[in-house]
Amino acid sequence: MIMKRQEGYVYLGKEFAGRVKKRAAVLFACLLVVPAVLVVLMFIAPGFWEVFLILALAAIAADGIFVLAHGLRYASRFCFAVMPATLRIRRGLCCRKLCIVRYADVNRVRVKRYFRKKNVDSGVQEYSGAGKSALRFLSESDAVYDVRLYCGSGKYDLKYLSQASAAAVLSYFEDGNDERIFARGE
Amino acid sequence: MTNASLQEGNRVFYLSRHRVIYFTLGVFLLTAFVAFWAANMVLGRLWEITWAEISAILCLAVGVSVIFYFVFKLKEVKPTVAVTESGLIFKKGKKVGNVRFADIASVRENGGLLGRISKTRRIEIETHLGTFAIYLAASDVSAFFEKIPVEGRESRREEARVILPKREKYICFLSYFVQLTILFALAIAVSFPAVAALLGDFSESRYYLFALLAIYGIALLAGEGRYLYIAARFAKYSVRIEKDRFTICYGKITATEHNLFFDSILAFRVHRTPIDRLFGLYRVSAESAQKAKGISDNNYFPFLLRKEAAEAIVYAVMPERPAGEFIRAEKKIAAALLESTLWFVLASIIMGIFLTPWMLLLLVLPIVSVLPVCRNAGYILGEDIALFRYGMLEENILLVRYRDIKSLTGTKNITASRFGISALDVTVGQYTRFFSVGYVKDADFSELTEKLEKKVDKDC
Repeated sequence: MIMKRQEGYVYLGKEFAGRVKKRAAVLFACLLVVPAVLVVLMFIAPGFWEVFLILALAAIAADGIFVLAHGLRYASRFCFAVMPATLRIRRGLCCRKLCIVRYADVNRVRVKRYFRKKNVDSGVQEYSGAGKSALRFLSESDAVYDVRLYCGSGKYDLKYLSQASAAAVLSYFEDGNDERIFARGE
Repeated sequence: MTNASLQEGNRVFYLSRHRVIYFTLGVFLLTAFVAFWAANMVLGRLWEITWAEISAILCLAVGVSVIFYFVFKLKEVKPTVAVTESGLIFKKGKKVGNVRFADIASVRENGGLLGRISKTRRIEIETHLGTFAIYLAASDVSAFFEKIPVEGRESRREEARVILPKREKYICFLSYFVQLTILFALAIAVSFPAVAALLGDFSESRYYLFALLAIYGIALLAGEGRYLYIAARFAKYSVRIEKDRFTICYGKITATEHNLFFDSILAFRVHRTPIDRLFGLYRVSAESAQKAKGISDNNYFPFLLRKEAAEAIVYAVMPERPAGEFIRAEKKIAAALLESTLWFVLASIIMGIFLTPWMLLLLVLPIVSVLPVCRNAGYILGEDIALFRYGMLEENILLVRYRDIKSLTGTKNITASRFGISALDVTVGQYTRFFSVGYVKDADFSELTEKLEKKVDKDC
């Protein structure tokens, strides 16, 4: 089922959505070790097979819901919109959640930048801030930003923002918008 | 001796002489202690000290203390605080600090036993950056407080209404006892049959009962003990409602006075248990922007109050009462809440199938918890103030101005989406928690979000 996109909201880019889905699938597969161990224990200690069965089912359910489904939903559902006085963030796993945060509620902003830089002498491509396989689709002029907002109501992560999106978000915070964050690295 | 003088139109206060007294006392005790042990080690015996030796030690301690006193007085850099038109200026030697009146959230006086002996008072000044204390001579305190600018100071005393909780404040003991007993009775009723069935023997399962009763006893003692502590700590408690603040006084041995400014109050939460409702009593909690040391938001008004006293407190700050009836949607809310308990229901059914059918008694819990929540649910959206009623064991009423709401979160599960309602969480400030105020209609949620879009021209 294709989810209807909200008007005026910024969603994850196609490449980054794919990355989030891939990570969720890999993590889900890795965590299947836990129910596998419990199934083995069912045969080792058959006297408590019901308990191990219930725990294995619970572990699979938790893995499926909190890792796989969360990752898949996050990739397609997470979005935000910058309004004149508030920031609106949509997210949610089994439910839809809309958070409306006043800029005055933001106490601190942390910005991380990821970009690709070329080592001139050796011609080797390097990626600052992330693994090589992660952001290989970035061109030399691209950078992506992770903005974390620390608010009285909690933390909000805006991930994989383009420079324009990051600038739009940061422009609403007095004294917090240091243009140097958008300058290219050395 | 008072050492306040006029200087260029500002009033300067010398921070108290108590420091030299306390330091001198400390030096005396330290000298006596060191001299005592030195004498014992030199003489080679312990606890067989003669009166002559004790006198020598005391004379030595007194002599050192006197020398210290004079040296300290000579070398001491007297710190001062000057009250200007715009704020306070603190000076100690070359260090100067400025605090604007606009940044001061509260000023309170604390007079401990030692303070009364040395005729000094501890004044705590709370700002947005933190709280710090100064010590003034007792005779300077009223002059200092008079210099802190407040509107309408002259008529303040005449308009002040005083609230003195009386014997109704002790109903909290009964209220807590009844609530806890009902909770534990329910816990035993739904869990004990299953435990007995699993263990297969009543004599074995009675230990489970004893364990629950032990937990009940501890919880009861802890809860009632807490109320006893509050009653002792807040002895001689009174609230004076001024034009722009609450002046809260309490304490028998250590008299404390807090000023809770109306400007710093972000929301009120009025709550009562069924027993409180029986006696017509309310408990008021103020969610404030100031985080005072030694007193939390719940303890500004720590006692149960009669309806008129609670109303006087709340409406002194928020006179704009939202009009109209509560908006309610009980059936829709019940359905949405039951969906949120689905995981618990499934777990109970699975355990009932695999372990023992008595586990199905756990299904009583979602039903018992949803009914009072639906009964208490409701809200009114006024012109400037929103009023939310919610709660399960307690009826809570949250009053909050739109301009003080910092964030809203609306959550919809499948049933809530179908019925057009959202579960609402409200946050009012950095140090306050969020309030889960129950379900609101989508149209009203949109109205609330529109109100948040209005810019707030306010110094933060």
